[in-house]
Amino acid sequence: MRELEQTIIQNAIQGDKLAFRCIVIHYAKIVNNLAYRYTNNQTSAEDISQETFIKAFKALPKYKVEAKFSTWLYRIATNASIDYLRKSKNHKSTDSLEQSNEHINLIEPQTQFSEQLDLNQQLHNALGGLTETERLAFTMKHHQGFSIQETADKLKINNNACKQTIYRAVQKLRKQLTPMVST
Amino acid sequence: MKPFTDYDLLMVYLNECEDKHLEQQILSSSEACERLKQLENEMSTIDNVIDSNTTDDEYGHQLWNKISGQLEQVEKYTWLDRLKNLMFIPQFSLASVAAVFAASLTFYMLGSYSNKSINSIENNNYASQLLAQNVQYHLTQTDHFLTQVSNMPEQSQTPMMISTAKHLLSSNRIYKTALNNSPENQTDNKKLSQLLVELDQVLTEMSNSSPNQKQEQLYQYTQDQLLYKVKTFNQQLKTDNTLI
Repeated sequence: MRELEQTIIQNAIQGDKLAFRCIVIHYAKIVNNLAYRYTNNQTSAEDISQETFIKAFKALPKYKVEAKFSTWLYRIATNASIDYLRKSKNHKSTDSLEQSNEHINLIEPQTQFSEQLDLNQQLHNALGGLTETERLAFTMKHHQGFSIQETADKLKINNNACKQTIYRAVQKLRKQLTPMVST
Repeated sequence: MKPFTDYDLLMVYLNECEDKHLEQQILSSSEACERLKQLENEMSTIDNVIDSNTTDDEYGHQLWNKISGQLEQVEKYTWLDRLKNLMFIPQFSLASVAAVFAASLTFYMLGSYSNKSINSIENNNYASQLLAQNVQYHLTQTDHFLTQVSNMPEQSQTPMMISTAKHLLSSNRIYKTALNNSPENQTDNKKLSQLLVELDQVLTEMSNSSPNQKQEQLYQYTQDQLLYKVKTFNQQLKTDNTLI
C-alpha cells in the first residue's frame, strides 16, 4: 500500500483535522483488515479500528518522522487488538498454550457444504479454527513482521512456545485454505 | 540424514531458524527446497485469501464519521480534566491502597503520640494542683497552730501542743520532699520549700521540747516573720491553687 505524503502527516501532527481525516480514510480498510485477522470478528474489528485511530490521534505528537507511518499505525492497531482481546468478556484468560494444543475440529473443505461457502466464509472458518493466541502470533509474525522475540513478549509467552504456536496456526490454515483455493 | 520437518522448513521460511547448520542443510537440499517452495506458495495463497476480506470502499468515510465526534472530546480533554479525574474518580490500584494505609498509619501514630503528650501534661497539672492543695491545707493548720502558740502568754506548752507539733512536723517533711521532687521545682517553688525548711526547724524544736518549757522561748521561733510568711503563702495558695 502506498504511503501518504509526509506533508499530510506533518499537518496532522500540528493539529490539522482535515489532514487526520485523510489519514483515517487512507488507512481505515487496512487497519480494519488487520484487526479482523486478529479477532476473526467484524464487530470487534470495527471497534478496534476506531480505538486505533483515536489512540493514534492522541499519540500523534509523539510520532517520530523517521519511522514509517504505516508501521507505527499498525503497531498501535496490534496493541489495541491485544488489549481488546484481553478485556473482552469472551476472551478466555485461560487460553494458554496447553489449551492451544487441543485438537480443533476444522471444517473439512471436501465436505459437501464447502463448495457452497464463499471465500469470506472460508476465511472466517479458517481463522475461527485458530485460538486467539495462534491468530495473534501468526498475524504478528507473518503479516506485521514482528520478530519471534517481539511477538513472544507481546503475548507474554516464551520464544519456543511462540514458534510452536505459529507452526500450529500455519498447519491449520494450510489444511483449511490451501485446498479450497487450489480447486 | 533424518528428513526435515515442516517445523524446520517454516522456521527457515520465517527466517527464525536458530540452527544455522540445519538451515544450510535445508537450503542445500533440492528436496527441502522443493518443499520450501511449496510452503511459500501456500503461505501466499493464505495471504491472498485473507486479503480478500475487503471492507466497503466507503469504510474510511464511515469510520471518520464515527470517530470525529470522539476526537473533538479528546481535544477538549485538557490537563485540568485529567486532574479532575484523578481527584474525583476513585483510583483503584495497589499503590493507592498502600498510600491510604500509610497515611492512616501515620495519622494514627501522630494521634497516639499527641494523646500521650496531652495526658502527660494533664497528669502533671493534676499532681501539681493536688500537691498545692495539700500544702495549703498544711499551712492552714500550721498557721492556726502557730497563732495559737503565739497567743498563749505566760503558759507552758501542753502535751497536746507537742503532739500537734509532731503531727505537723511529719506532714511538713512529706510536703518538703514532695516539693523537692516536683517537676515545677522553679525559683518561686523553692521559696515555699525554704519556708517548709524553716517550719521544719521550729516544729522540730516544739516537738522535742519539754511540757513545762516557758512560752518565751517559743516566741523566738515565731518571730522573724515566720508566721507572716506562713499566712502569706497560705493566702496565695488559696487564691491560685498552684505551687508558688
